[in-house]
Amino acid sequence: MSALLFYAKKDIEANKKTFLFIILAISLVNANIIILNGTMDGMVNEFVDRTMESTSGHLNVYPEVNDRYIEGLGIKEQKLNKIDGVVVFSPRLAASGSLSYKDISKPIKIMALDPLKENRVTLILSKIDSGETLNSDDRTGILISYKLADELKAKAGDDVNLLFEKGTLKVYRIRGIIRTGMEVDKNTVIMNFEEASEQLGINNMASMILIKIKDKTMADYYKDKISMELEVSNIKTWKQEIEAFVSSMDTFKEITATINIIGLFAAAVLVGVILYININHKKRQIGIMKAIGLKDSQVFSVYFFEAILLGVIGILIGSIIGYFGTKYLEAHPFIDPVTGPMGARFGMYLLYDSSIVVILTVILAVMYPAIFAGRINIIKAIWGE
Amino acid sequence: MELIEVKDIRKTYMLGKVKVNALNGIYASIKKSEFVAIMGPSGSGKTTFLNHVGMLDVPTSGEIFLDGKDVTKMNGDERAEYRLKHLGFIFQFFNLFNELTALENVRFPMMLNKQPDYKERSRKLLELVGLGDRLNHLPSELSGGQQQRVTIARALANNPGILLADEPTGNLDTKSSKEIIELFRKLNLENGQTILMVTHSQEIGAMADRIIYFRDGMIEK
Repeated sequence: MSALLFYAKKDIEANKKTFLFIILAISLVNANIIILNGTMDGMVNEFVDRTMESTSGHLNVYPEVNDRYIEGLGIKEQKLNKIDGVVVFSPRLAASGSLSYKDISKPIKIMALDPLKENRVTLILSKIDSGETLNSDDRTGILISYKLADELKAKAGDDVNLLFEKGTLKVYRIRGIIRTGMEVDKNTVIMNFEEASEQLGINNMASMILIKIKDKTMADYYKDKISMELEVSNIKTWKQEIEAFVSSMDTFKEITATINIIGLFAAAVLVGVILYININHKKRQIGIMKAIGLKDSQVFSVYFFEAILLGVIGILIGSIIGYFGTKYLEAHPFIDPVTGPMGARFGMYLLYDSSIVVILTVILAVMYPAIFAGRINIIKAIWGE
Repeated sequence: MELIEVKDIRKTYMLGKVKVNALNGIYASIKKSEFVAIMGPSGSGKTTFLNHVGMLDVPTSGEIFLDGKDVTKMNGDERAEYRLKHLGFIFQFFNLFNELTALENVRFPMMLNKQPDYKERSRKLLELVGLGDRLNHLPSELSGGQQQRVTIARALANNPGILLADEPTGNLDTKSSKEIIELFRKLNLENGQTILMVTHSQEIGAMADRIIYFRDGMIEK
């Protein structure tokens, strides 16, 4: 083994220029995989985090099918308080209406919540673009999304007319403008839960209850438990909530995977061809190896080791490029006009995964040239045929 | 004692669509420690014979016994192992590993054979062939005669019983040729190595113990 490694190393040293191309190809493919997947994962994670921060608990309870509201909210809250593992929860009310400022009027979605409870479950009330957030006892103030503010040409401190779906009209003061990078940014008005209940003429009801549990990985367990305790069936875990998004991200992941595969295939062909040409130019050397007593499998091993050595060097360089490339994109994220900054995210798994994939590609690439080398006829090889 | 015994070996191969009989039933015996020259015109089968004795090629039929073993029955790996441990090759075109220094060229077969003293022994072998001052030179930095000396040192690496030389002086000037053959003779006398040497030169052939003449794939005399 050491003799074969010795020769493989010497052969690489003597053919630095040829092998530099192989190392370069492997490095770039490796770096490409790390950066591409780091960016993709970063964007997915960013989106998931934002979803979790603003629109979802670990578990969300919805009204039963055909119902508009969850009834008996008070009892359900008492039951939730008794379930071990449920940390906090926040009921929300959803309604529609329209908001007018001066002579502009826009249809809106109302999201009513209890700021005290909501702040313990999501960060939505902290996503203030301008102005201030909503206090727990503030029944005269509202928050509006930045897009809605733009359309109404309204700003924090302005008084607006809110027409509820039931037909009641009331003046509220815009306390602040929110920007979440989510759907909420479109045309949402956030207001006090009690105030909305009163204006909508409902009591002891909610449109959803966001629940935070001790360990989000146990969401499935608590889903069943809460379903039984609260006697409700329409509960979604955080994973289910982001499922639609994740499935749409799967398409992007497939595109990324395709780019990776094309890159790997191109690298495999390039590495394979360079190795094959190199071996073809060394038939006489291979003939001598066999003449002095190397077995076919040992000749195969020499070129296999060469490829692995080149692969390891390429992976090391590629990992360094990939690390700094991903870190750069993490520090300098892409700015999406709708969703805001979308940066890459570096994780050690990116290095491990790409290394495994690239080394497998190198192994695949070297197989044919190495087998070819092992099978070369000694007599023909010695005579350089 | 017969170290090499060849019985009715034949080698037929196709050159395009033409069937070529390279060896036509060769019988030969070579004793241990014999220095034998193989001579004959081009295409007479000298090198083919040497390749068969050296287990680089497999005969179409016949038997080759090396030290009592029928090597034609061995598989590829067994033949490679036998070549490593018992045979040493010297080619006309030196055939060194260009990426290895003189010392490394000699060491490589020893490392393959897992010789523990390969570092010291490789140095001694190069000193033996008069290249003690060229240990770390690449083949491209050596003259033809010096390269052939490295080839000889490499052939001796695993102390083989048989040395096979295919026109070892074919690319050398008269002085270098004479030095190489004297080295062969020295090895033959001091180490008792059996040497089979293909040559075109009557003068060099005359320095061997015996000459086998080939013609048309057969032994002429």
